[in-house]
Amino acid sequence: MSTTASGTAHEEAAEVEPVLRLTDLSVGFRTEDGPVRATTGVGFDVRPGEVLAVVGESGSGKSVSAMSLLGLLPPSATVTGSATLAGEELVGMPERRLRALRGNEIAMIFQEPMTSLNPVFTVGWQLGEVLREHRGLSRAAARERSRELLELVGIPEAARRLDSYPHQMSGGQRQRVMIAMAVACDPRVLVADEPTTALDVTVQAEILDLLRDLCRRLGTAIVLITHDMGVVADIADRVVVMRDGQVVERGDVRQVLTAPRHEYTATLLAAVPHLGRPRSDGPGAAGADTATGAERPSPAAPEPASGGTEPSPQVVEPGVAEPGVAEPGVAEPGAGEPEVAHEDAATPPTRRGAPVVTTPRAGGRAATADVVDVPPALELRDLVVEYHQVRAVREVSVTVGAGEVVGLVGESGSGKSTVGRCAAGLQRPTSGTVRVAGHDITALSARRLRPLRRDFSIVFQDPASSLNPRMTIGESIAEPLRMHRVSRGAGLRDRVAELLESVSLRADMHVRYPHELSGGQRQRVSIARALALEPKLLIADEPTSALDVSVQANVLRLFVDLQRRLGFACLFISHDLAVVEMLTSHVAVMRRGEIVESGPTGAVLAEPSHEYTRALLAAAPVPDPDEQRRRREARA
Amino acid sequence: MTTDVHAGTPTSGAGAGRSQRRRALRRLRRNPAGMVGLVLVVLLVLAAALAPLLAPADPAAVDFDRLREQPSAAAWLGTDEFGRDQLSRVLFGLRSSLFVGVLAVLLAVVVAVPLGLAAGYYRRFVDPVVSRLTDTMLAFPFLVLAVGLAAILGPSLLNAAIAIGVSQVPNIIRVMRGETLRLANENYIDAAVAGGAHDGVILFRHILPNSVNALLIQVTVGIPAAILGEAVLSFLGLGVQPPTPSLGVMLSSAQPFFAQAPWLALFPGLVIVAATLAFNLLGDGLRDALDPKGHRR
Repeated sequence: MSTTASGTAHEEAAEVEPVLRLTDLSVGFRTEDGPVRATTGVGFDVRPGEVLAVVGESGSGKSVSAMSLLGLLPPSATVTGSATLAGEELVGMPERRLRALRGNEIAMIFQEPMTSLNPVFTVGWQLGEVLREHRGLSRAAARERSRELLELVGIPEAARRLDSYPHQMSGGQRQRVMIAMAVACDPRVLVADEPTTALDVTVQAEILDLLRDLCRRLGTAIVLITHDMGVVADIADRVVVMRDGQVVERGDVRQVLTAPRHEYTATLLAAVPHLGRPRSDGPGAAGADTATGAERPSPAAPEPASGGTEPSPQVVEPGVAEPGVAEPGVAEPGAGEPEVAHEDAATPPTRRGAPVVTTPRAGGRAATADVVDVPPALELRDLVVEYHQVRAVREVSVTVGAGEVVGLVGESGSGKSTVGRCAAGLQRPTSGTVRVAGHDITALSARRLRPLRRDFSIVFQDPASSLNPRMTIGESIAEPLRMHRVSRGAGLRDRVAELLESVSLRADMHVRYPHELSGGQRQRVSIARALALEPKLLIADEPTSALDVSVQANVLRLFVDLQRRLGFACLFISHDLAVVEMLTSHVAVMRRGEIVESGPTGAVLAEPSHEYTRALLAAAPVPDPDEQRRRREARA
Repeated sequence: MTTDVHAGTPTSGAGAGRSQRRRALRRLRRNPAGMVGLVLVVLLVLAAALAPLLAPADPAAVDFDRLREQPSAAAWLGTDEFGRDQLSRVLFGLRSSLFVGVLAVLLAVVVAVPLGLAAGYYRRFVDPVVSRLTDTMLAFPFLVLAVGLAAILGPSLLNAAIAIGVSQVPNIIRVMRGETLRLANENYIDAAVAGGAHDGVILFRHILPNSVNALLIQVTVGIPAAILGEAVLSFLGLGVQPPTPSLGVMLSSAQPFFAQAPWLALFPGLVIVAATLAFNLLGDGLRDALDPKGHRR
C-alpha cells in the first residue's frame, strides 16, 4: 500500500508548486582569518508531501543551508541568493517576520533529543507553550491539542505522559515529543537535521516510519539532513548530495542510490559498510586461527594505497572499493541473507557452545582447549557490574583468543561499553573475573596493574575527547612509551615517528595539537597511542562511530591492515553489524546487560537464532530503496 | 628547555614544549588587553623594586611644616598628615602591597592545588576530609579568617601574607576539585591510565594543565583581594608596622581627611585600581595565550 501511495504522491508532486525553493544560496562567515565560504550556489526545491534528503559528510554545508532557512545562523554569517517559502523570500527577511514563520510555517527537529527539551518543564507544558504562543490557544485547549499530538506521534498513554518530565522518557520518545512540537502548528516545511543519528537502529526505524507517515498524512514537506545513505533509502523521495558547500548531484532516490552520476556519490555509497558483503579477507579469518603475530603471514601488508601520508584522510581516494570490498551496486539487497554471508562462515555454525565466544557458563574452559600454549588475550568470566543496585552487566563471559578479533554488539545501554571498560582495567566489576593474557587483573591494585597494562590498551569512540587538548599528539603517543620506560630520547622520537607513519599520518605532524586535526586523524592518533606498546589485546569501543562514512572506511581499512600486521587480539565493540561483520571472526550480541547470542560472525549474522539479533539486522538501514521498502512492509 | 618540568623530558615534547611557549608568547603579544596588563604589571613591579632609587624622599621622614600639602612641584603627590612625601610613600607602599598580594596567592596556590587535585581524584578517602575542612573554612568570611590568623601569628608583613594566603586556600581547593571532577571523566584520562600513567602524571600532566583557565581566574581575582586584605589587616595593626607604608595603610589613614585632602586617598587608591586592573588583564591575556586552540571568545 505504501508503495503505491508513495509512487503516486511523487508523480502528483511533480506538478505541484514547490513549497520551498532555494536558488543559488550561498552562506559565508566572517572569521578572524578572513571570510570563509560555507556553501556556494546551493539550489533545490521541495514540494508538499515530499521528503527531500540532503546528504553529505561533515563540513559539506548541509546543516548550514538548513539553518539559513530559519535565520538561525550566527551574526557573523552572510547569506546571499534566494530561498522562498510559498513564494515569500526568506533571505533578508526581518527578524520579527521570521519569528512568526518559525514553528508556524517552517519547523525544525534537531539531532540531540537529550538536550532539545528543557529538563525542568513537563512535556505537556513545553508542547502547550508552542500552541499558546503561536496559536493563542487557551490552557485547556492547548492541553487537549498536546494530547492529540502525542497520540499522533505514537506515544502510548498520551494523557498521562503529558505530565512526564523529559528525563522520564527514552531517547526515542523524546525525539517523538520533538517531532510533536515541530508539527504542532501544521508547518508547511519540516527541517530535520540528523533526527535519528543519536538513536539506536531499532528506534531509528520507528522514528523514520513516523516521519514518513506524518509527511503523507499532513502533506508536510520534509527536508531531511543526514549522512546516512541507509536513512536516505528508507525515507527520501529525492536526494541532494552536497560536498564542500556545493551540490554535486541531485535526483530521484532510486537513481542516485543505484546509478549515481557523480563520482563522489559513488565513493560515498561504496564507503558504507554493508551487511552481507564478504569480509575483506578478514583478520583472524577462522575461529581456530590463533596464530600470534610472529606466525601470521604478513607480507608487509600494503599501506592504504595512494595519498596515505596526506594530512587529510577524509579525502576518499577512488580506491575505496578496494579488492575484497564489493562494488556498491554489486552488493545485493539481500543483506544479511543466509547465502551471502555463508561463504564467510568457514567455521561450522556450532552456535551455542561455540568456541572462543561463550554464552554465560557455557564451558569457557573447553573452548580454549585447543589453544593450550597461548593463553587467551582476554577472558571475561561471569562478569557482573552494578551501579547503585542496578545491574548494568549480568554474568557476561567472553573469550578473545590470541590474535583474534571478536565483536561485541549492542545498542546504547546494553552494557557493552561497561564490559569494555572492565576488560581495559578501567573499571572494577562487582563480581566475576577478568583475565588478560593469562593474568587475572580483576582485583589488582592500580600499582600492581600498571606494569601489566603493556599488554592491553583501549581506543574510545569520541575523537574529540580522547586526546589531551593541551598536549601535542606526539606527546600523547609518547606517553605510554615513557610510562613503561620503553624508550627515551632519540629512540622515543623515532618510535613516535614510526607510529605516526604506521597510521598513515606524516611524522612531522607530531607537533600538532588535537584541535588542529580532523576527527579521522585524531582517531588515527588514538590508535597509534593504543598500539605504541604493541599490546596483545586492543579494546576498541566504537572507534569509528563518530566518523563520516568515507573516513570510517579509511580508518577501518587501516585497522584491518594493522591487525593483520601486528597480530593483536581485539575486542571490537560496536552497534554497527556491518562493521562487525567486516572485521570480526566471532561476535557476541548484548542486550540489557546480557549476551543473548554469540558465535562465529558469519553464522550469527546469517542465521540469527535470537529474535533480538534478527531485529537488529532488520533495523539497520541499507542504501537500497527497494530493500528498505520490503523491510518496511515486513515490519507492518 | 633544560628546565623542562615534565620528568623525563618529553621526546617530541622538548621541541614542542619550546614552540608551544613561543606560540603562547606570540598570542599574548597579539592580544592588546593582555599586553596592557603585562606592561602595567612590569611597570608596577619595577616601581616597587626600584622604590629606593625612584623615591624623591625618605618615606618615613616627618616634616611638621608641610602637613597635608597639595600636590606641587616640590611634592608631586602632596604630603600626608605627618608631612611625609606621598610619592615616596606610594612607591614603598606598593612594595609591601605587591609583596603581600603575590606571596599570599602563591602560597594559596601551592597549598590548594595539590589538595584540590587530590580531593577531586581520590573521591573515597581524601575528598571527604578535604571537603569538610574546606567547608569549615568557608563558613568564616574571608577577612574574619585572615584577621584571626594574623592575630594568632603576630603582626608582620610576612604573617599578613600567610594569613591572607591561608584564607584564600579554600576557594582554590574548591575550584581545583571541581575541575578535577569534571576532567577525570574525559576519555583522555582513561586513555592515559590505560597507557600506564601513574597518578602523578594524571594529576599534574593531564588534569592540571587543563584546569589552568579556572586557576588563572582565581589567581587574578586573588591578588587584588589580597592587596585589599592587607590594607584591612594593616589598618587593624596586624599588617605592616608603622612607619613602613603600604597602600592599604595609606588609604585607611587618609579616610578622616577625605574632605580636606582628597589626594591622600586618591593616589594610593588609583595605584590599587591600577594593580587590580593590571593583574586581571594579564590573567585574561594569559588564559587565551595558554590555550593551544588560540583565540576563542
